[in-house]
Amino acid sequence: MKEIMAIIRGQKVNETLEALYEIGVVSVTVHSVNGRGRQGGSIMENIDPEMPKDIEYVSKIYTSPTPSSMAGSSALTKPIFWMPKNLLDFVVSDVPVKKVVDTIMKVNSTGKHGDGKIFVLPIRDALRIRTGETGEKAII
Amino acid sequence: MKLIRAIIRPEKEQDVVLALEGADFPSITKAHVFGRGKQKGLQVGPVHYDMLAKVLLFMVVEDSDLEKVMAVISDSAKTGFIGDGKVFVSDVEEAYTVRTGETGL
Repeated sequence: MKEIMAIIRGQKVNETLEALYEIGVVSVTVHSVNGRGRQGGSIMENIDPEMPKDIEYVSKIYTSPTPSSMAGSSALTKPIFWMPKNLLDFVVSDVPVKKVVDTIMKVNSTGKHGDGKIFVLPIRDALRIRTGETGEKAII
Repeated sequence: MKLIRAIIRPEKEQDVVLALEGADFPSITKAHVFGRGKQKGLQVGPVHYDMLAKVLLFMVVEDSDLEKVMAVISDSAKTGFIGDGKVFVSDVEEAYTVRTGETGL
């Protein structure tokens, strides 16, 4: 039994769930979380092209304030500190982990930063509350 | 690799995140949760709070960095009063980056 935690973009959740359903993963828990990766948040260059990439210039006073120059005046190092993401959390036993990981990657790859991460954790035991079944039976 | 789940005070969230960023661990996922601990909530006069607001931080780090990260979290999240939170550590077997398909952090 393995637990798979996948942190993905919000707009890809339904597509991912459909793809997982096709390969036999039907039970998934979705959390709405905020997160940041190796880039340490994001700057608003897509929203506001005037935003300089260099952090040093963020606190400068602009003659014509833009939304991101206002945001940059805070103590935070990057204007967008937390990115909204969704966390899919599920346990698999009969479906191979490799297949699940490949499916999630195929659906979610856009080639840009922020596609997310997938973590695979070992699970020692599971219990279905309704019947009291434990182990593999509780998951299938 | 280890998965760290830290339940901390919401007002300490920024302190912890900036301390971790300063220690070169910028990758964090957070969720706002409600929970209670050994004290079964909080009693303030006649009012009993069953569930208290907390922030849950998820981080995956290399085994060698675990002690350093734990020290940073416990230093920056500590107030000395009941309700500072808990940190749980579990094993992670594999990690993948979706964009590139690479394994590892």
